[in-house]
Amino acid sequence: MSWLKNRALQEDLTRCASMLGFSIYVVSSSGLSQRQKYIGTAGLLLVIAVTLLELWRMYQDKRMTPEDRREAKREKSDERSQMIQDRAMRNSWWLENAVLLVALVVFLVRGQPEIYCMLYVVLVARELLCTTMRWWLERKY
Amino acid sequence: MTNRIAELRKARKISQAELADEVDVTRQTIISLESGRYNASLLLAHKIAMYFGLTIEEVFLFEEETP
Repeated sequence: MSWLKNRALQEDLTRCASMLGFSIYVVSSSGLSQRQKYIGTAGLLLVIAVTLLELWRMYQDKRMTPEDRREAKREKSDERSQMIQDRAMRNSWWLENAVLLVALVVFLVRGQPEIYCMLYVVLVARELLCTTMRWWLERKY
Repeated sequence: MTNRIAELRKARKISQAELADEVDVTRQTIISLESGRYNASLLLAHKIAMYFGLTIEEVFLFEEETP
């Protein structure tokens, strides 16, 4: 379980867990069934657990020796770590696009214009944002 | 691209962690470089070459791609 010592990965995992927990809570809080209430409570408990974990980590960070702090900083600035993060984000981007496109086709076939129009807007906005970012970065470099 | 990092490191009797400290990367990066799974940036290649007192070409071996 050496990957648990990787600080960058720890941060990603806690972020994902808190988002997941909060999403579960939000999605199921409007539901009426007992099962949905249980799921919502589980989501909320997950958010609380992640928050406590983060607070504990912040406390640990304050107690770090200068050497530990230097090591943590190095882990974040390490070029291999950054390359992995870039690739993970790029792959996620393509996966998200694929899922959105499949969903768009599904809702198009099912004849639900409100949903496929929304998905189309999201897809176009993402592409426009990406192009704008690229243009801005092209100017910078 | 291949490299002689493992060979040079062993010749100088230093550990991967020590080399990582010297060039300011994680030990995992040194492991990946030595196994050839990751190619160093120009800056890191320069740092490693400087550490061993060699040129980049002496540490990193570039193989021309055949068309």
